[in-house]
Amino acid sequence: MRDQGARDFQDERDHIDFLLDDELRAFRRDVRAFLRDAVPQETRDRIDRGYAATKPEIVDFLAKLSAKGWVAPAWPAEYGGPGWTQLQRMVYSTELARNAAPSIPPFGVSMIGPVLYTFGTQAQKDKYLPGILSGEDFWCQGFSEPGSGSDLASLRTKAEDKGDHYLLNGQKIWTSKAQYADRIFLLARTDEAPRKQGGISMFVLDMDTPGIVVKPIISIDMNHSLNEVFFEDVKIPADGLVGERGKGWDYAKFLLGNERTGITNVGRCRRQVERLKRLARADLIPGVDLSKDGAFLRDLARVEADLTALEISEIRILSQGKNGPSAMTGPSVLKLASAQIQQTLAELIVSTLGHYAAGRGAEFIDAFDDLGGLPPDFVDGALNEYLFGRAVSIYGGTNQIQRDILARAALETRP
Amino acid sequence: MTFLEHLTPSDETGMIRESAEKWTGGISDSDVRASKGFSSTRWADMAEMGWHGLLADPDHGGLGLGPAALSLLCQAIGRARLPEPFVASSVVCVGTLTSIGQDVTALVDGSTIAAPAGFGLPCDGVSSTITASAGAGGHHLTGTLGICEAGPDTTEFLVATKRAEALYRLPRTTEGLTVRPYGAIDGRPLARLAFDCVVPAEALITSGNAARAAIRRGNALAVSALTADATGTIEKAIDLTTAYIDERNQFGQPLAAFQALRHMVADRLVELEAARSMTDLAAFAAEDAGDAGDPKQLHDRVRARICRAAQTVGQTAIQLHGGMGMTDEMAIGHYFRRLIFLQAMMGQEAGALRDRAATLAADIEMQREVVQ
Ligand SMILES: Cc1cc2nc3c(=O)[nH]c(=O)nc-3n(C[C@H](O)[C@H](O)[C@H](O)COP(=O)(O)OP(=O)(O)OC[C@H]3O[C@@H](n4cnc5c(N)ncnc54)[C@H](O)[C@@H]3O)c2cc1C
Repeated sequence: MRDQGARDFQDERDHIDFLLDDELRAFRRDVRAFLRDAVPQETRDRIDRGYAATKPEIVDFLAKLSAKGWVAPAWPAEYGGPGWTQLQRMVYSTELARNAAPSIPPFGVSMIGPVLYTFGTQAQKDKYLPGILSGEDFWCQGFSEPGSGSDLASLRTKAEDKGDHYLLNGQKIWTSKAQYADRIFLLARTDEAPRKQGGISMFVLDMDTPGIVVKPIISIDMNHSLNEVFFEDVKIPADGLVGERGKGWDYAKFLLGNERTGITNVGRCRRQVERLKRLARADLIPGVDLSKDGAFLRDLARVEADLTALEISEIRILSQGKNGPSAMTGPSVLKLASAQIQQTLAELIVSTLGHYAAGRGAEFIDAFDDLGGLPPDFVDGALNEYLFGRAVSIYGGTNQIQRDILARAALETRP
Repeated sequence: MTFLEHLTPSDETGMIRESAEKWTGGISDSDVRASKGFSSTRWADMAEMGWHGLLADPDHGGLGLGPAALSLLCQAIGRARLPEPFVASSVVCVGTLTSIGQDVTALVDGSTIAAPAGFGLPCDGVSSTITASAGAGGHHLTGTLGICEAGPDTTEFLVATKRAEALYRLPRTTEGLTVRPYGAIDGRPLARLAFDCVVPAEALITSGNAARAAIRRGNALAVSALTADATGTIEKAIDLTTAYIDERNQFGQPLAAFQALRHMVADRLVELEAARSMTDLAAFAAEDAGDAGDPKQLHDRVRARICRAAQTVGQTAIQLHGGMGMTDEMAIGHYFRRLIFLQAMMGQEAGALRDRAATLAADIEMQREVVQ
């Protein structure tokens, strides 16, 4: 399924080629040469088809990235990042996706890592950053609660100050990958404050601490990535407090900004455009040649133009940094645009499947095994991605919440 | 019957609706889950209520009713998201067989279950790829069909051959017929069929124009039934969603207080009415057994509109449930997946629009010729 085939595509021009100079092209050659060998064919095929990477696949891949110092592309050099520019990061993420590499879990690298190196103590930096950079420590995010989703600040999980430790009681939900996480970062209420955002603190904690129970939630794609996490009299050592007590909300906002810009998945979207071209040639709909179907091509052209705008927006907004004109609204804009594009691409892929969109699962694939190389395995993975992809407009703050943030930035009137 | 008469249910049809609502009202979501794709108890209940014979003649144990009653029944089935192959067996097969005077007694009493192959389901009129040739030992059927709504309990197949030239009726046990089972996205059983079998001449039940008319009938009933099923599913998805956002609080108020969500609900109600209208239209078109001109003219529009309603309502329902919408545990995700299944069986909106666009292009071309 590797479309590079036997030819050497080291210097192949792609859609961002014209943004690159010779130095960046040389950089891209390095990345390409590395990734060609770093992603095993089997992993590549599965991920390309829309299945999630397994933990061993992720561990294996992160170890290889770590040896190059490429786990955390956005981190500053002083904390162990490669110190790349925004364009280098763009090249890197495009190549990761082109090679259908397992995606780098965001919880350590994009979420808690930057919080720790920005607000954490020296001891916390020393203790946690190396495990993130080596890919050895898996983190999960304990923010949402059953009663507190969009209204996160209403959270009720409590951490009582007991001197040398905090006593944690409460429940989190939707905790992605908690089933195999080594550590968790979480928000809990430490003080009663007049504003509900006050009195919230952020903690880091080992998942094997006594009193933590993880229960699986099966999602509509019939996979297990979501969990409930229960805390009963869990002792968080006092040095697990991140930054200042009561400032958790500020850190959370900082973190969510990074989360939102980190889930644009433009590389994967590019890959999806390529998959669409391939599926259009697979002739899954009897009597229809999608490569000549005006409606399909127009839809593809439209989403590809949207994607181009998003790619450039990402470079533009992120390279302008904290003082740029879009600093406040940027994360929400990027997240909204990308949610729309990711979901449109998944929908378009399903539309190329015709009747095959009715079937599901391993037996479905087996039923066609005599046809050799036929797409039912594309098909099943595509539905996986379509179903789970409905969550893109929910996690990291729903589309409605992003729109509220944007409207708030533009309008004086408060509802 | 005029269309206005069609819109006013007869007493008999009204009774069917009442009994359907009463019966499905007693089936819980966990019952449906527990049955994992088929419940023989429910199939027997349906037989008792006469549903499998709704379209059959009274001398085959049927009720002799038409698509209007059927449509109401299928809406109730959609609302309850019953996985049984009612549309496949009791609508498409019984309806098609009845139209050519075949015996359907065993299908009607529920002791056998049939699946259409190469017509009806999917209902986008894509023609069969099965070929048949008559020889000394009987008729040789060859070819494969990727999708057929057949499960472990299916006992016979109604097979259309290429270009709707002939219709065969085969027991599942036919030698040389391979049934490779798999699951649908909404959990019901499906299968891929491979034919390489020699069947006795009696298996050919009709051919030529009569076969084409019978298959057209089966397709029209399928479009009507699937559209009705989708409308019932859409209604229920909207009900579950409005109930959820009335109940769930965030920011100290019910989600339903947020205007952004209220407007989304309002837009989906517009979709629901379009779906209902297409359901009535498709049922009326199926009422008229065969002489209404080219039914494709109408079916393409019906499929396009109902698929779009299914898509937008399904997606909105998940979005408004937030994280809860993503769980297998909540009923809404199951309705969402049923809507995906139904769209696939109707060839999806893109397919329906493609078909309709081709007709429109031909119309435009013809007008150009007239003008010149
Ligand atoms: C796949 C997935 C992975 C996730 N991973 C994690 C994780 O690892 N860690 C974690 O902490 N959380 C995680 N989440 C949780 C996610 O952040 C929440 O689902 C999200 O914040 C929405 O909260 P909710 O599910 O409670 O929905 P609700 O807040 O109940 O929202 C339901 C609906 O109401 C709308 N709504 C709410 N408030 C308003 C308003 N004021 N105006 C208009 N509309 C409104 C929402 O947009 C949504 O459509 C994950 C969620 C999913 C689906």
